[in-house]
Amino acid sequence: MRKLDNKIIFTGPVGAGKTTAIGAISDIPPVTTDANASDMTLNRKGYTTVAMDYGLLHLDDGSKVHLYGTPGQERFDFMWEILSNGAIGLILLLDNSRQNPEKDMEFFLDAFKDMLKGAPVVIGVTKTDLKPTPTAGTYARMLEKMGMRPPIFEIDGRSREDVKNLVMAMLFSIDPGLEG
Amino acid sequence: MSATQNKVICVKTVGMDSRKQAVFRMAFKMHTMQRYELAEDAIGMKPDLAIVDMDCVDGNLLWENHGSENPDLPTLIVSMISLPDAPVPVLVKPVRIETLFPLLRQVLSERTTPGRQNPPQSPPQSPPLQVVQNAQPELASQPVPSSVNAPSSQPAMQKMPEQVGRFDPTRGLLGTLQEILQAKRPSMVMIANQNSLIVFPEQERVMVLQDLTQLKNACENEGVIITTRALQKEDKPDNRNIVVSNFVGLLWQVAIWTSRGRLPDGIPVHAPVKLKYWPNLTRMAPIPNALRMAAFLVRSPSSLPVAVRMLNVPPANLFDFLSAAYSIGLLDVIESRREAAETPPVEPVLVKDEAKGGMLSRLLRRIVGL
Ligand SMILES: Nc1nc2c(ncn2[C@@H]2O[C@H](COP(=O)(O)OP(=O)(O)OP(=O)(O)O)[C@@H](O)[C@H]2O)c(=O)[nH]1
Ligand SMILES: [Mg+2]
Repeated sequence: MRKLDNKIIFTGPVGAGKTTAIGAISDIPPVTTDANASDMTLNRKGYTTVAMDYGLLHLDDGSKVHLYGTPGQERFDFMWEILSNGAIGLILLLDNSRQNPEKDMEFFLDAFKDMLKGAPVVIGVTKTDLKPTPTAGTYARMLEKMGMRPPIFEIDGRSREDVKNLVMAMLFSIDPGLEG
Repeated sequence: MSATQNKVICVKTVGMDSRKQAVFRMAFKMHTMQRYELAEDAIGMKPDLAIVDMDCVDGNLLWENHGSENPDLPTLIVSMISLPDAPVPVLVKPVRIETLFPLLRQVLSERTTPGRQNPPQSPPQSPPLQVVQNAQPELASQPVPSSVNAPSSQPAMQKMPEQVGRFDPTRGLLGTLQEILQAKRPSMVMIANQNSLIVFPEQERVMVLQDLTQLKNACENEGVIITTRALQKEDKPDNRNIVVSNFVGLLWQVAIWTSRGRLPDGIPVHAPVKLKYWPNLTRMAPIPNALRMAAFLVRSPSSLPVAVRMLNVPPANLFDFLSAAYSIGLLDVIESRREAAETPPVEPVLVKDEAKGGMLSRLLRRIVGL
């Protein structure tokens, strides 16, 4: 049996909505180390997370669940593994408006493959309001071919309801009979 | 614990006659976990947001009056043309379900109000260019629904009913839509001789021309006559009076309306069933406990009595879910007799929650209550 730290990892490419999604459910405003992106990446938005995001959920017995967001840029990927060790699960956010979100998905699933041997992944496809395709079904069929059947939903990173559903799907993937 | 207990979000409309309102009334009945109602239908409720239709002669005046009377009311504009300078988000007609609901959520979470206008030339989305501290979005104060999936808190053990109700999924509106999907032909669907739906199966799009209560009604009454014909040139709908939806979402909804706690012929009670992959549950009409049922059925095949027992969900929820998943082609029925006789027990969970002092349950409770 895996030893669990009380933490959930949010990952995904630059601008996918990781910082926003953590903010949507965290008890505290996310602690983030965003920096002006103009000098470091061809980012379409003006800022990016350079270290990691941190959010927090207090549980009713006084314990805490930590929410970590990985920096989107690949040059920080050495941090990912350390961060993900012992996590409850991985929330992968894909920005549908990027050039090749299918490839992003493959890249991140590969980067976290060791973690995913023992922990569930759920996938949230963001910015479908800006670009509706690929649809969630298209990704799901791709994943099925790779032998994976994780929860995959279209979400809006700014919607607490959507982010809640991702976390609940993650918990039910661990145990569908889980009672709240 | 059920989808019906969500706080309703009351929507004030400005600049709309009853036909324009009908479009939104129709849209609000679809694919959303959050319930919205027009102020006209939610008597006594204070509006949580407004939708202003700019397509009338005095659109600008209406907007100004709305702004001065409701400076703090989150507002969305709808219009036939895009309005790049608008101070609040703009939905360009025709009203598309997939655009409408994300925009409504954006309007609520970012509280884009007429009173807090930036100078009209700058749209609200561009974030500042330095260090950003994302504040907690104030999701419009509503206790948000846990509709897809509140955990089943009912203490009573759920059991399969002695008699399982059945319906024929090849008949009625559901059957008609399936036929169109298979024939891959753009079609007009008529309910009781009224043009109701224009379906483009290959594009997976549907234009809904009628109030959705008519569709629901057609699903509930087998006597309603449903016919189809090939699409003709004259069938160009007036974009102002329709709702555009994706086909899969509509099939899912129609299946729920048809099922009403029954099972389609074709899903045996005792043969194991399995989900091919997860449905896009955040954008489908809600079914209570859908998340846990999907998680269970995607993992390993299960017969229905086992699923009911293991999940402790009301059988009616399970049957609605199976009907909907079946209608969009996500359900595999494992027919082999040998396999069917002995359903394999559910896979062990990845982590035993008790060993963690119930941390996962606590977390679930916390998330549901957010
Ligand atoms: N239109 C749209 N915008 C979104 C959606 N989800 C998030 N955003 C916006 O996308 C922008 C980027 O989100 P962030 O949370 O900063 O993305 P991130 O993943 O933390 O990015 P990095 O830190 O650069 O890796 C923000 O302005 C969000 O408000 C969505 O579904 N639709
Ligand atoms: Mg970030």
